[in-house]
Amino acid sequence: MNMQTIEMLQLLTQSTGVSGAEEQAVACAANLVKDLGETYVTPLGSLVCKVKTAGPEKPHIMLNAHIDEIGMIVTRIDKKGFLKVSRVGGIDRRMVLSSPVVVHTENGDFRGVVGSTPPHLQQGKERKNPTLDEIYLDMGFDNKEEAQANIPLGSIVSFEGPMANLKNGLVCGKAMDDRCCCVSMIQACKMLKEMDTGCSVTLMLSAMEETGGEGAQTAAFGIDPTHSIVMDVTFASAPDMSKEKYPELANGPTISCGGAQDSKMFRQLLETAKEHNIPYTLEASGGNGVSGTDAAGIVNRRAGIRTAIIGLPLRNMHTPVEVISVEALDHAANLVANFVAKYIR
Amino acid sequence: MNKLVQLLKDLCQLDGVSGAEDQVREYIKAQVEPYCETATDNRGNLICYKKGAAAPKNKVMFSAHMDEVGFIITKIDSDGFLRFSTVGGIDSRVVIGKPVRLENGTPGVVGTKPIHVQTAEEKDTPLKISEMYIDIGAASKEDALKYVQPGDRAVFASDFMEFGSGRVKAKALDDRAGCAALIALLQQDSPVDYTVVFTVCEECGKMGAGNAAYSVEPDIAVAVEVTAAADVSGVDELDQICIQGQGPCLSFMDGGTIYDRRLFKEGLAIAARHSIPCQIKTATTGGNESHDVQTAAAGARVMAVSLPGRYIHSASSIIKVGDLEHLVALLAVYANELGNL
Repeated sequence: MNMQTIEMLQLLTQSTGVSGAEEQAVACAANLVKDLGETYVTPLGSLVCKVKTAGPEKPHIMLNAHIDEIGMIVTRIDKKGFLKVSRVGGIDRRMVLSSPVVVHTENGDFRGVVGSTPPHLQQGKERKNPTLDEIYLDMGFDNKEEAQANIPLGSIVSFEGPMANLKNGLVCGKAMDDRCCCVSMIQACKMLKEMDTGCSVTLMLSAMEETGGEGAQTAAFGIDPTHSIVMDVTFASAPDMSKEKYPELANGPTISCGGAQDSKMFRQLLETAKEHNIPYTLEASGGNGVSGTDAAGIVNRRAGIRTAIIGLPLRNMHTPVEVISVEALDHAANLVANFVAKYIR
Repeated sequence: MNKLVQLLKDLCQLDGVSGAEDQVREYIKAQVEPYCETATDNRGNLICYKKGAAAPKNKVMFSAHMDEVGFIITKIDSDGFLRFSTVGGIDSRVVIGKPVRLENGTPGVVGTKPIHVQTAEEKDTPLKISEMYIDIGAASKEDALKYVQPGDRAVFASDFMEFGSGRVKAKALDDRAGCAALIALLQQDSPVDYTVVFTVCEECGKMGAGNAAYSVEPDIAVAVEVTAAADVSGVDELDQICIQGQGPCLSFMDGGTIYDRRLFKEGLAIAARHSIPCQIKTATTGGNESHDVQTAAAGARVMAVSLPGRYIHSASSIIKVGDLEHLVALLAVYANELGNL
């Protein structure tokens, strides 16, 4: 399964799908799941695939990961032909400078670089990370007219982040948040397709998670499941992220509990992990326990949807060098499939 | 892709952090050996003696540095993350979130605490290099030591891209663009003798060019380099240093050197006579190996010819190909005329 996972990751992470403009990534995912069942795209751009249909008296589980990624949007063109931008989702100001970007237009993609005021002109001023207002995109145009002829205002901007293999089965690249979970859920659906199950299974890869969760919320309304599992990336430990507080990449997925998350599903997920020798880290969250993922918009749709959250630990979240463990991704798929087959009946 | 751009691409994709320029030197040597005599000195400078039809009055030397800014691994922590220092001047703000490549080709990334858990102060205050780490995916210190040891160099992993209106983006354009121009020069026939030196350690301050100049003993020395243009968004006209698309620029003075006044004026006059676009660098910022060359022996008259660059010393430096083509043309007429000035 490993090679296939990496190929899918390559295809999906290198597709573009900035929040609100997920079409390319959705088309890529639709192609990956075309043999699994009927697919459609919701009015807000989420991809739905009906993997298994059981009788109406049976439970119906929706497996979710979000397909959108963070990016930027072109707001205006300055007098020299540089593009000014605004953020789409949480952009880390510490890493934007000199990052390669792609501006997507109907006339094609244009590559460029994020710039800001040259260092020698900042002397005397306090050195700070630039705000989004202070940066611009250098598209290599000679003047404003050239820029205007090529780049319509409102064009979507994505960060370049080619996928690379690190040691020990880790991979890095852009948009691992949350395409790695999309891949994991697709793998789970492939397994479920072959397994004996007692429920309907629908895959839902949501649009607009990074900008508020509108995609998942409305897709869940339309699908009307009884249960759902939301898989999203979670912070992994790193030199500046303590091991006491955050899970390690190599220790498998996290199984999450707290707040509005369904405690029965949580216990059954733990049972499944133990039964199948799947490594995991337990992650308890405070507050409503669902904030920060699409679960927040799913759990209280219609008459309420029983919802569990599984996390894939990831380093450097919201940068073009997000790092995950392919093995953890496969473990998560295994966990989801075996849980659904045994307990959702 | 034209031949000059292909040459530049090949050069930029080689790794040559200061003190570890071997890959670049071997590549250049292979490119120029059919056209001149070469020698490598103790520092690692590549000295190329071009034989022309006649020996000129003045001995002319051109230089471009082979080294690039980058990183050197200093320590490996118990979890297998690599701690590093910069080699050469790198703004710490262009390092986070960038892919890097160790000298043996191992890929890595410079990681960071995610935006979601940064405090307001952390979002504003640039991280110090000492707070950053390179992640190669190692499971432990022992595991990491299989792939890397302290002292190994690393570079930004950045592809070569042609984009916009005749521009290119790459790492190490400073000063591989200068190297490309001088390789192209050496590959042409020349009416007069001259010398080209491809130098080491410009970026780390212990410039090899001085040692090369001691050996060559030029009367006139021309540094060929890339300078920050500052012709970008939000910079007032008066703060601009030079402008991409208006040809190479000549310096009257910079942070390291007061250039020879006659050469500066003659350099502009020669360009004008041959209708080659050329501009004046309108600031005294930056610096290069000229001061070391100027003072290496009994004194050399120096000039600097620079390409207007953007975001130099980052993974995404930019020059305009037209400027590079004009630079090659300008160097050819300088090689012919400076010798008999």
